[in-house]
Amino acid sequence: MHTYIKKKIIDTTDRIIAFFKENLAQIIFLVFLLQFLLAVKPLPYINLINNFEFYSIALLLFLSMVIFRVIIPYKRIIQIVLVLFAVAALFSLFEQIPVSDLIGFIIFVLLLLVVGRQMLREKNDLKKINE
Amino acid sequence: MKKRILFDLIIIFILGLIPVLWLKDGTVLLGHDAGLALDPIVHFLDRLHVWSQRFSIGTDQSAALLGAFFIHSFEAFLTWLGFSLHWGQIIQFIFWFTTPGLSMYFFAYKIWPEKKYLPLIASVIYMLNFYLIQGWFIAERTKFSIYIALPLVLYFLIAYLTGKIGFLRSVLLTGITLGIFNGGGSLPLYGGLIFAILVIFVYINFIQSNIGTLKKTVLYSIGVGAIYFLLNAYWIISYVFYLSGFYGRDLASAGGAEGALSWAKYLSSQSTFINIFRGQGIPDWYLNPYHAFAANFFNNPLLVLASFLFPILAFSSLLLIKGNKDRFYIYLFVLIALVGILFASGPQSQLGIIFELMVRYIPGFAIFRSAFFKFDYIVWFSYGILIGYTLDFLFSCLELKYFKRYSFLFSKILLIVFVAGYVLYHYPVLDGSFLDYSREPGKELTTRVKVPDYILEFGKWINAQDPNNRYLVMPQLRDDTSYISYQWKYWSIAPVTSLLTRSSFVHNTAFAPQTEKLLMTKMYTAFLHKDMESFKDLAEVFAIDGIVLQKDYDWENKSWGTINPQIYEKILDSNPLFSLDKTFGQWKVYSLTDRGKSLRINSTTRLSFLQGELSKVASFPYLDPKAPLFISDLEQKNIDYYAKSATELFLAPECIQCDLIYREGTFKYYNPKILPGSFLYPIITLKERQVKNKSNDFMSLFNYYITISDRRIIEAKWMIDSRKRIQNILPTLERYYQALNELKLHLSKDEWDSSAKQENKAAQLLMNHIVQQVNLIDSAYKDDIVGYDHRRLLAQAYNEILEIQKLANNNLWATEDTISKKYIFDLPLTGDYDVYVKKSSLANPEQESSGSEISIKDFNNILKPIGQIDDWLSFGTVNLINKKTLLSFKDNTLKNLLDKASLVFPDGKEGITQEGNKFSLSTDSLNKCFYYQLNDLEIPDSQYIVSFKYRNFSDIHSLSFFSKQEGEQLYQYSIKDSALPMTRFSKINTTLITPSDSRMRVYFCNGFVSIGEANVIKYKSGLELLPPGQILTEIVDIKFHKVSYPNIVFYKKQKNAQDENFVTSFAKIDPVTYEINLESINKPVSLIMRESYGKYWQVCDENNKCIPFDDKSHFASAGFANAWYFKDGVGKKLKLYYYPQKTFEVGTAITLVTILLIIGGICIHILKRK
Repeated sequence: MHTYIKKKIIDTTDRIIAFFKENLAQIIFLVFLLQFLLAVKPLPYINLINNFEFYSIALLLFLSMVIFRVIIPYKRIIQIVLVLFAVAALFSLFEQIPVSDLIGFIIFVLLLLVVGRQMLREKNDLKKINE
Repeated sequence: MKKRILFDLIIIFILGLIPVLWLKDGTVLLGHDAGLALDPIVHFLDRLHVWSQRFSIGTDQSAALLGAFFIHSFEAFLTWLGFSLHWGQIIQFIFWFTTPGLSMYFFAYKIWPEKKYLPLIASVIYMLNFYLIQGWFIAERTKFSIYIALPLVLYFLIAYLTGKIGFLRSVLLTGITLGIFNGGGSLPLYGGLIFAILVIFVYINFIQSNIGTLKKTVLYSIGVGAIYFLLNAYWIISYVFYLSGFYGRDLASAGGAEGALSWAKYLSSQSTFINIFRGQGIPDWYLNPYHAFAANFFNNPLLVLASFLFPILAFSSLLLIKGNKDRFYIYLFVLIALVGILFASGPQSQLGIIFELMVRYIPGFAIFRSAFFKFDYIVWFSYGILIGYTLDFLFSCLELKYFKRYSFLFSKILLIVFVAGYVLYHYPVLDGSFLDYSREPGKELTTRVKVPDYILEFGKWINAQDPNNRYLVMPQLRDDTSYISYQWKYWSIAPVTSLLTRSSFVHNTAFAPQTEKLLMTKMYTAFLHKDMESFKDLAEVFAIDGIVLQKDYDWENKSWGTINPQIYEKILDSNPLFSLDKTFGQWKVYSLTDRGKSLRINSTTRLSFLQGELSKVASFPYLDPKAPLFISDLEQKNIDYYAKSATELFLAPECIQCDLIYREGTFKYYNPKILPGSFLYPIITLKERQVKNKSNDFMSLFNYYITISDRRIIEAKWMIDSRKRIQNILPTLERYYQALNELKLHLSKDEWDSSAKQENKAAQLLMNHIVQQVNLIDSAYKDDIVGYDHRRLLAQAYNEILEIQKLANNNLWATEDTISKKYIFDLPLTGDYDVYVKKSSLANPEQESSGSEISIKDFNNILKPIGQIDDWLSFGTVNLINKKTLLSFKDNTLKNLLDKASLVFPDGKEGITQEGNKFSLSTDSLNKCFYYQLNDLEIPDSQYIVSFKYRNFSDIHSLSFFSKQEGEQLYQYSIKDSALPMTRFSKINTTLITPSDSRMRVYFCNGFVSIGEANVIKYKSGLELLPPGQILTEIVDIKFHKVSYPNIVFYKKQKNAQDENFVTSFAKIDPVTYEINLESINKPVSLIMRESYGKYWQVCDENNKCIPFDDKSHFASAGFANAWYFKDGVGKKLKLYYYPQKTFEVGTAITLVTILLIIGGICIHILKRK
């Protein structure tokens, strides 16, 4: 057991290190982008944009998925969406409105992305509607 | 298959009967925004004309849903068939409740005919949801109309783009659908439909990616646009004609794009993504804390959890799709739902910036400001299909697995269970409790109303009277709310008479324009004060023939209560000017005994010119209320022309600040964000240069210099306070000095404006700004960071301000005390004027007024009363050579009401010393009060000013001053709220009071120290030094004056006029046409028609020669009625016609021809096929 856990820890550490080595440039880019977005937030005119944090996070998430080529299968995203609805239901039950609002936004973005992606992927199949 | 459809339709029809449960015991749905008529036939006929007099004295109803032809014709048809109001409404509601289910069934069945469960489930969800229930509380038939059209239109579109049906069929069917279910012509309701169509266009074009589909898209858009226009031309043309003239005005009255956004933000405060996903987010649920049932859906855990089943079931469909066709449709409906959610959430969601940008930058998008109501229905359309799809899958699986042998029976039981559960979730529809939309104690509101019989009897009677008769409705409504509420539960902003008759009723409702409302208020006030001369004049101006007293008004309500109708009744019954004609239960109809002939239309050689408000000259002996009255304050154009043409001039300006309240604004100290020295600062200077270049006249440049000087001192002060960019403080102060210098040079011009009133206004504004600037200089000067050079510059700037102050003082003319009242006259013509003052407008008219004086600036003589005509004091004639005349009036009837008031010391007199009019409050009277008891104050609308001087001798104890009605509870602790600012020097305090009761008290309290504070103070050494008997506060010269706004009139007679009406007879052919017979006359003559002024009221002679719309001869008499001045006289016949009616007639002809062509085409097609 001890050896197994030790091996697991080493494997995980190696994987993380390897990931960092492989994607150092991309990570640095994202970190800089995050810093940049944080820095510009209080600037005149930009500080007038409501919910700037949401846009920053959404942009970073989107870029991370593109840069790291993360592909979550279609069905998994829908499952995540459904689970998120259940989680939002619990938060609503305990009147944690800001949390359920945030989850609502995430669900919205996920659904939009997943339908958009499927449209792109299945474009040719979708043409055969009358077949 | 047929059995299945039959079963589904039966379920839909049974559900459609739900409205039967809502209206019990003969009640009807009425009030709020419902717009359901009490006499549907009269209401429908009135909508065949673009001009209606149902609201006040006439209004253009082109924008008021002329397109609701089918909605109102259906109502009228049911009444015509003989159904009572109650049953007529129930039948209508069954139709509007069932039809959305049928249209959705059509859509779902056509897309998925093979699916057993989907069509019915989709229909039930589409028929019944909280979005619709919210609309049902006012039976929003326009919304239901577009809601019905949505599935049909989308099917015809999708079927065409996917090649199932041909172009002609698709376009015709879409056009016909939108011809019948046109949303009542309410364009904002099309928001959801337009976006759903756009999503389909984009989606199918993206999938197909070929020219053919793009071509189809274009053809469909053009085809449907054309058919839609042709079939709806009867209202669209009038509507577009109206919008071309008034969209800008209407948008501005809604506050422009900013106003639309503020409204959208307010309304969508809880329309968040998650709430809309759950089928909630309905604004009323969150904005109305006394909502009939919303609290249950917020607090009941089962209902909260159940609400999440909607999105879970809807989006589970994405997991279950198989096959290209299903994928194609499910992706599409998810997209439509997401777009619907995005826009329904308005500007408040995390992606609200999209909505905000569209409102700001897409012309016309502001009409969708009530975002939730305009977009959320497409979410329910998608939800119906998506949930139907998921449940169809689940039910089919169950059926296959467990009940294959009894599949038919099982499927029906399953559907019935689902429908029952679904309806139970929406339980408020089962008893109509959603109609009781507010349960606030004392303010319970419902649209479920039992109309008393006498109301309907009154309706029948009034509809049989001469349509030219006009009635004044009493009691008046409260100005701050304008809500109309009766004891029998009707509540709305729409007068009940507008639902009952086509006659004209004058009432200060929300529909009356501000100018009319103001006059109405004066008329009611004159009536209540028994000033019958003024009342008669104003009643003639409005062409009022009778009075309707409504004793069943909910006048005692705290929120919208008004004056007791019995007060009106007493006056009406006792004054010979009125005679009782009819009584209908709680409603009484009186006629004016001196009204022989309708004053709706008359003609005279008189033409009056007025500067100021009409109410100021009401009852003036030389004013003829029947004559047209040009008001120069309201019509800025053609002032010179009418001043010269008028037979008489009346100049009656408002007293400048008689209530001693300074009105012009100032600026607030703010964070300028971009400071001098910043790399972005050139943007500021560039913008300033641009503004300066655009400022071409004196006032624009004046505003520019004030704003620039404000900004410079704010920048300097901000840098000093924040210690940022210190090196730039000096250059900024130099620029500040420079701005003041330029302002001073600009103000040195001899004349600021051609109007002395404008000059005074500018001077007041200037004074406020420079005082505020000096405040900033004062506090900046003290700061440690400020060096010698800075101080020198601030001192120089102060010198400039003193110079500016001198210049401002030259143009300042405002009342500063209650005795000497200031007036500004901008004379249109110089020369001799007779001067009059209305005696009853003085502070105490019963007092001797001979000591009153008028002095005119740059005019040596002081005028005193030399005679009296009726209620008007004559001050003689003055020859005025200067167009800018500044006048001061001393009202010697003013008296201190405290002289007769009793002084009360409820806590004893110890520590309060009184020597004449001087009170000293010492340490022995801490926390003690004394008050003056005032009786017989005039209410309502009378104002009083309390003024006194005071000074403090201690830094800790302040003087408190406040007023209370007699009997109102006084809480000692709340004395804290009324502490006056500390002052070591004598300071004058003036407070304006508008009593709501004739008995009130004016309190003075020797500060307030709680026992906790007293304990703390006890340990402060300084305070212990104050010996007993030490004076803390001194009050001197307490006065309580009634605020008067004396009516001063300059009168000039220019030409002689005959007091003769040249109109021999007139006939109202229909709501938009009058035919008038006159005595032919070659002299200048005026014609007045007392319906609301409308630019497009056209006057034509017997040869059909009409006066152009923009001709200066047409003006708004008294600010609201139509008048024409014919300088060369008139012939024997004239015709008045409201021109936009032509657009309605042309549109109707186009629509009828189109219908005939379509029917003809279909017949030919059928014959050919046979």
